[in-house]
Amino acid sequence: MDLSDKGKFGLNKDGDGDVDLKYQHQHQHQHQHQHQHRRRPYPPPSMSPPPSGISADWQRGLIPVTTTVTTTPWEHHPASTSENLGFPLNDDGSASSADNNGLIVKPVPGNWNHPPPGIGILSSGLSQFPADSAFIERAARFSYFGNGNFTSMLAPFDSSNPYLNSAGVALMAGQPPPPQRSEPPNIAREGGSKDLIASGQGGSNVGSPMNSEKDISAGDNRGDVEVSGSGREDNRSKGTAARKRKWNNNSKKEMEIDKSNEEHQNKEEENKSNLAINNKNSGKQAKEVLDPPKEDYIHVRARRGQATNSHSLAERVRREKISERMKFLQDLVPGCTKVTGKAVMLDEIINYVQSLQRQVEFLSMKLSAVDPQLDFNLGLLSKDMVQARASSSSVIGFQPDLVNSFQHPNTQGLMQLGNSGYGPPPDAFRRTINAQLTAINTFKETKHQMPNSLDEDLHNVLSQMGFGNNAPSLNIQESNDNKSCDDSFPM
Amino acid sequence: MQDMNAMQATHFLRLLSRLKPLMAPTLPISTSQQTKFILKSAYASMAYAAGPRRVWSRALVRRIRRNRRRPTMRIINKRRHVVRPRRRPAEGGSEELRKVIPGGDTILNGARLVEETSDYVQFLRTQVIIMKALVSSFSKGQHG
Repeated sequence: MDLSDKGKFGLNKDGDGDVDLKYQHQHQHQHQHQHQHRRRPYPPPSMSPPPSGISADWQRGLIPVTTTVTTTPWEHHPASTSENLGFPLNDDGSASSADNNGLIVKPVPGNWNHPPPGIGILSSGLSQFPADSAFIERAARFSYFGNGNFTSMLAPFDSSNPYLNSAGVALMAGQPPPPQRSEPPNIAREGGSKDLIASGQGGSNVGSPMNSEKDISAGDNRGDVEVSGSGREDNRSKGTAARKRKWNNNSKKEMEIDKSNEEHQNKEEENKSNLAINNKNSGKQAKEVLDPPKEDYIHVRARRGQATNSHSLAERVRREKISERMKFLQDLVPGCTKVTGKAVMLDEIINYVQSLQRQVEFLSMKLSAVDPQLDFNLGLLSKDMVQARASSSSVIGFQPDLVNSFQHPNTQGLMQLGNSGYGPPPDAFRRTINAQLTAINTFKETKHQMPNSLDEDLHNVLSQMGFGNNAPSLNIQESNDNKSCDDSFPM
Repeated sequence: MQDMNAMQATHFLRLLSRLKPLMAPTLPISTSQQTKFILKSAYASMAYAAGPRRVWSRALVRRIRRNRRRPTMRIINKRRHVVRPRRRPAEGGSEELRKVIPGGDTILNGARLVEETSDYVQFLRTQVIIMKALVSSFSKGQHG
């Protein structure tokens, strides 16, 4: 039996003792088919790639979970990711029953460490997919794509910002369901972390009907409540629901509590099966099943032994967001060791910013002192541009152009270039030329010797930069080199 | 990133070059005034290159404009007040940071603040690079 086999596979791999197994039992034959199908691939007779192929799929991050018992699912992996944007989890494209839509393609992140036997598990319980943040984001998006209603909403949420997407998706997810959903989103918004709560809300609404009773109880107590939903949409929905349920429970919303009722769920399950199928994302289930420390968006799962309070969850997500950005900031600020804590790092950053500001001030003084007349002639401008480009790893394309322009000692050449650049030039290069041109024009009025000095300056610059008169390639190389040493700019 | 450098440099130089025509006809301006102008133009070029999407760039522009013009006076209750920016009390343990980042005190979200900080740092760095290059080219031009 599949179920028994599943047991072998260790559906309960996750220490959560999730009910995947249970769900799988409950699932219809479809799931069983799926399970079988899933297990087959392990040494898939029809599937060309054996476990290695599967692992490849995993690495690719997509394991279509479809009911179809064909090799197509595996082969559809690459397509599924791209195609599934608007389509709920039916990445396989195999004809799946309406309710099954499928097996949602759940991207399996590369860090999926489960052995191939997990495939069966996968088939059975979508919840077992390891959670990859990027993938989860995608999965979340996919899950919400189920309904056609969502597609219209997809546009604003296509941004690369995962947080945005998650929030948007969460909100979206919360909306389509019946009135119950409407409340949670509102409530969520009232709360502080709307994306979290909204997602939780939406999820709870969706998932609650689907969730099976077992998850609920587990969810309350343990942070790791996995939506043990088996691979089927029920699982998905349940998984999502369980997840949401957990959230709901945490948020202590009335609706959530109601939803958590099994009976309630049962009733709504059928009603929302379609929704669930569409909404539930295999990825989500995967997330749930997996033991993710915490999803950064859409839903947050409390860690083991940690408070499952909605507030604490939201706070944790918030903190994670902040820490993520702090990491980025750390990279920017030189000399910020990882060892330092948040406070020390903050001080470092503040010191750095202040030092930068002081530097700007000092340099401006120097600039004003260097040239009391503030004679910013074109040569200086061009020199600065070139040097700034080189030192700050500026656009490569700029250099050759600049060099070429410099190749023409005549200001006329420059002027011609500048004239040509007077069109609608968004390029910095063109703008530079324009600036230079205007400078030239300005200074031409004042000093007639400008062009000569300009030429000299240009030549000087070129020689300084090591540019031959005929060596644009050198510039490129230099710029490349400069680019490589990016931020190691000696201050 | 590189494009931003280019933009920043361009704007900065443009702003600086604007000074020249202004200065030339009139008497030489005091060094401090020059310095201030250069400083302002530096920040202005930074803010311009960053775009209006950033809180700090908007605050910078506001600050610069405020220095130039009189603070806008609004008639409130038939009395003229100089409108000062309202201080927000929100703090996430980053009070100092808010002081440093222009417009930081208006940012409530801690994550957003860090984001703005990183952006601000990037632009500040490129500004310093540009100015250093300018100074060095200036001195080279004079010596060479």
